[in-house]
Order: sequence, then structure tokens, then C-alpha cells
Amino acid sequence: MRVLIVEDKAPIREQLANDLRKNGFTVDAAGDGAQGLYLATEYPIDIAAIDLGLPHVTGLEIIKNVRAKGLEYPIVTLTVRDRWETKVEVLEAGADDYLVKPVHAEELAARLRALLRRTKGWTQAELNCPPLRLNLSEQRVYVQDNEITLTAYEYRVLEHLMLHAGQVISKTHLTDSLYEEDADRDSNVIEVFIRRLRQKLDPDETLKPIETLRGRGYRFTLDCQRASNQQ
Amino acid sequence: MMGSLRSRQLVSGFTIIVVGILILGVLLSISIYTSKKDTIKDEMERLALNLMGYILYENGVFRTTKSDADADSATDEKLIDIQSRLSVCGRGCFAYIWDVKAQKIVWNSVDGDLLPRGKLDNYFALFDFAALVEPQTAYKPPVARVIKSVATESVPTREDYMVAIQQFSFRSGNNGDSNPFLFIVASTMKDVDKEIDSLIRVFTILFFVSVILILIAQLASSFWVVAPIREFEEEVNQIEKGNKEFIEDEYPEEMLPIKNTINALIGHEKGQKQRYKDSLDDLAHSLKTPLAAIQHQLEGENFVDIPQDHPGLASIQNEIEHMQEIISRQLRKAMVTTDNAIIMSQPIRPILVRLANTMKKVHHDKQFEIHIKVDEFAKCRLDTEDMMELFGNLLNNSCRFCDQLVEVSARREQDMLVVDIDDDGMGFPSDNPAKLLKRGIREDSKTEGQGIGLAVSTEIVSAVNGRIELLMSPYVGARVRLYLPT
Repeated sequence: MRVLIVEDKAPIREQLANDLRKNGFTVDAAGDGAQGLYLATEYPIDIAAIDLGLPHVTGLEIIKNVRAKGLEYPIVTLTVRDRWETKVEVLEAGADDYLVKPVHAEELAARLRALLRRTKGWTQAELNCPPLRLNLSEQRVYVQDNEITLTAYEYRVLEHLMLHAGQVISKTHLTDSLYEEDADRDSNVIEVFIRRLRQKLDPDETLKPIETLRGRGYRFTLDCQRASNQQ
Repeated sequence: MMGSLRSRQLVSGFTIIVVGILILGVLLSISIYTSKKDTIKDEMERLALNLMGYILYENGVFRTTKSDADADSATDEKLIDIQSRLSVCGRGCFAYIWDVKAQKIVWNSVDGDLLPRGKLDNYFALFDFAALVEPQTAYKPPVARVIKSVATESVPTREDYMVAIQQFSFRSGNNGDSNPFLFIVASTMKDVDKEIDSLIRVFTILFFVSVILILIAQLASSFWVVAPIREFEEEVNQIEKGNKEFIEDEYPEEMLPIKNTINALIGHEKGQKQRYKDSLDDLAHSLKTPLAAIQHQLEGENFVDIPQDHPGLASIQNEIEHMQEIISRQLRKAMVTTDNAIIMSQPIRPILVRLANTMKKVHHDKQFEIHIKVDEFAKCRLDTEDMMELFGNLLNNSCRFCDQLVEVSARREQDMLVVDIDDDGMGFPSDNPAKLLKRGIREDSKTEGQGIGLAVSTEIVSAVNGRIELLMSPYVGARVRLYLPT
């Protein structure tokens, strides 16, 4: 998942970015509002964490701009101001969640994950597509209750496909969500990850969880219980 | 009495007008009297001059030219005219010749035609003739003046007459003695006095009538004049009650300085409050950010090698958390608007609706409903920020602890707005719910940091002289009841 962090205090930004990377996110970071606005509207972002008190362009303006452009990815705001007035204003502008600083990286990661799955229609922290299960908070994958060991990149590809289960995800999109902007990219790598995933999840090729659509991308095919225990 | 603007205006206006009318009246009567007097004076002088031309003195006897054979008819007519003019006012107007030496009337304008001879002397008003005789030097035309008559048998009262006197004498005999005669033409001033009297009477009546009318008009106008002041007072009251923010109505220009000053004061008061809030806010937030940075540092890679239970690190972390706690507590305290500020009363519904939408987003994981049974007439005196904070905290608590339902209802009770926030959750711990209202005691220690919501709410409510009660809701859960000033 590709997350954008907009935070003007360098130490906090670096810290959060590092921690989120450790938590399996692909991170883009911006140090001011103008840069943040550019990244937020021009990059294939899956989710954003935006500080409100930014130089040049405020967090609120970024959120409004993003929503005005019809981009619907979830946004978490970070702020030191915890008055309800600010919260209401920010949430009304189109933010989805609100975190008061100081923010702990684990908490932010958990919120981001929860928001991501929520906006994709998942109500639980575990994506259940029998016989496959993916636990978002523990980052573990099970087939028929047997844990499958995946590398970080393999996990990220699977998580992305499962979160968007049923949808066609292009190779470019997958690459974007895995690699940061300045990283060396090689689209062939995605094919390698997919092949390895298929081998690990479906060694006898009976499930066929990941479908290849030539020239378009990949799709996760198993039926999922998105709203299993919903009230 | 002079403490009231209306009575001041009433008394001053009334006095000016009444004194004005009086002065006008006096001046008017004086001028009328003078002009009447002048008219009579001129007439008497003219008559005296004319009449003299027709009087002849022959053989010691005065007579008019009337009986003369050679007198032409025009002279006759003129004489008749003079005589008729003199007879108009009866005994009041007359002309006669007074023989100073003999002390008697030797000729008169009416002459014996109408009067018995014997009564002649007493028929006309007489004057102190001795005093009127002047040593003659040269001819003087008759000059009329007002003289009091002397009391006689027939006319016992002394009266004012306009008298034109012409003195002349004839040299009689050889000794050269001259016998002075006074030619008197007089007209009584009684009629003028009467006229002036009746004028004064009419004027007096008019005066009293107009005084009453003026009084009524003044009363009416005083209401009209004072009306803007009353309106102004009413508007200031409205501001005090929180129904208005500024003095907005149009007022006469004399009141504009007061209006502007009061508005400026209100604005200043608000600005002051805002500046105070802003500077505190900035201070607190600029402290919070470096604290957050320090905390991040402590959790970061630089301290990876130091064990988490390292006593120094732990105590630094504790202190940082403590400082953060203090900052947010003091910040909240400073944010609460004090009751002496001028706050406008405003409806709570729009804020509740906004908050309800927000709560849905905040508690997205939960399936619950928020019912807002509050109409747009439910108003209270809280500023928007405080209202948002108060209801935000309380609604957030309810949403967090409810099972499926949160309900807000409001009603008026005397001059308070009573707001109930109900949920169908677990309710408050029954042993001592009041404890929850005190700062720092957290109802729910598992939530992230902001457990002082209830305490903040209490602070906001008590700052505006309101009240907060923790009860049990009809849905078995918790009910927070707020009494807010309207």
C-alpha cells in the first residue's frame, strides 16, 4: 500500500516514514503543503496522512483539493489541535480519520490499515476468502489454517490484490503501490512475485486465486466474506 | 426629576415657549396701545388745529364761523364734520375754551344747543389749568398729551384724557393786560384702555389654551424624542441577553457616537478574548510539537540499543507525557469562555447535526444511530467553539459507549435550556458518577488519551453558570443532562 505522509517537522516525518515502511507500507513523504498537494493529486496514492499546520498550503486545503478532484482514497489528519471544532471541520472537508499528535507509528499504521480495508468494504481486520485468510494487523496469511510464509513484497502484492478482490489491478498500479517514486522499477519483478505467490498459495493449482488478464493486469478471484460478522 | 431626559426636555421646551408667548403678548399689547395712543394724539392735534380756524372772538364772546353769513358751505361742512367727530364718543370727546382768569368755559364744541347752560361748567372733564398755562414766547402748534382730569361734581373720578392744548390771549383794554385762554381738545383714553383690557383678556384665554395644547404636544414629542433612547436601551438589553451581537439599528446622529463606542467595546472585548485564546493556543501548540518530536526521537532508531525499561529513558518519557497532559489541560481551561464575556445566544441544532455526521465518520466501525430531537428554537448562550467542544465530547462519549442508539433532546425550563444526551450503553458506574465530572478521572482508560472529555464539559458548562448531571437514560444507558443559560 502506498501511503503519503505530509508533515513539515522533519524528525517526525522521517520517524513516521521509517516506521510505516517497517510496517509494510510504501511511503512518499512531503515536507510542505505545496509539495504535499502535488503528491496527493498527481501520484497513485492509496492513503494519506496529512498534518494540518503546514507551510504554504494548509492540510485542510490539500484535503479539499484532493476531494474536489474526485480522488477518494482515505485521508487521516494529524494535528496537535484536538478541539472538536477542528475535528468537525476537517472531517467535513473530506478527511476520514483524525489523530492527535503525538502520534505513535503503530497506531498510525493500524488506523491506516483499518481505513484502507474499511473503504474497500471490509469490516474486519482479517480478510477471509476461503480457504485463504489474510490478517492485516499481524500480516500473516493462512490457507486452510496453515500459515504460509511470504516475503514482505509477496505479502504486499497479495494484500493489495485481496483488498481489491474482484477488481482488475494493472501491473503499473501494483508497481506504484510497491515502490516509492525514486526506487528502481522493473515490471518483470511483479510477474516474479505473482508466480511465487501462486506456487506458495496453490501448489497443486486447484484454487487459482490470482487470475492473469493479458494486457490488463491481475485479479483476485476467490469469493470473500467482506461483511461476515457485521452487526 | 431632572434625572430624566424626558422631563428635562419637557421643562426646558415648555419654559421657553411659555416665556416666549408671555413676552410676545406684552410686546404686542404695548405696541397696540402705543399705536392707538398715537392715532388719538395725532387726531387731537389735527382737530385742535382745524377747529381753531373756525373760532372767532368778537366782543368778548367766542363763536364759530357757522353763524356767519359770509361763511361758505364748504367751511360749514368741515365744521360739521369736526363736531360730529367730537360727538362720537359723547362726553368723552370735546373741545372747549377755558378762560383762565374767569375759571370757566367760555366756548364749547357742543355749545348750548344740547346742554342746559347752567350745567355747562361741570359737563366736561376739567383739568388742572393753572399748571397748563405756560409763559408764551412764540406760537406753538398744539401738542397733545395724556393728562389726568381733576375730579368735579359731575365727573368725580379722575380719568386719562388725550388733550391737545393751545394757549392764546387777547390784549384787553389799554393797560395791556392779557387774558390767557386755553383751547382744549380732548378725547378720553377710556376706550383705548378698554380695548387693551379686552385684548389682554382674549390674550390670557388664548395663552392658557395654547399652554395646554403645547403641554400635550410637548408630551407627545417627548415620547418621540426619547423613543430612540428606549430602542437603544432595548437593544443593549438584547445584547446582554445574548440575542444580539452588536447594536445594529439606525439611530439619530446624536446617538451614533454612543452606538459606535459600545460596538467598539464589544468588538474589543471579543477581539481581546480571541487574541488571548490565540496566543495561548499558539504557545501550547508550539510546545506540543517539539515534545512530540522528542517522543519520536525516544522511540526511534537512535535509542534502539537502550532497553525500554532503562530508568532514565522511562522517566524522560513519563515527564514528556506529563508535560503533554498539562499543556492540553491548561489549553482547554484557557479555551473555555468565561461568563462575563458577551456571548450571543444561538441555536444548538446546526452544531448537533454537524457533530452527528462527524460522529458517524469517527465511529465508523460501529453500527448505531444518532437521533437529534432538537428544534431550531432551542438556543443557549455558548460561543460556537465551546458549544462544539461541549457537545463534541459528550456525543463522542455516548457514541463510544452506546450499543445502537444515541439520542439528543432539548426543552426549555424557565430560563434554562435543558439538553439530554442519552445512550443505550452500560450507563455510568452507579457508585459515584459525580466523580467522573472531575478532571483527570477517566471513564475509559482503554481509549486513547482524551478521557477528560466529561471534565472539560463540566468546565465549559460551569463557566457559563450552567449545570451538568449524570443520570440514567430511559434506554437504560447513560444520560447526561445539561442546564445551559439561554
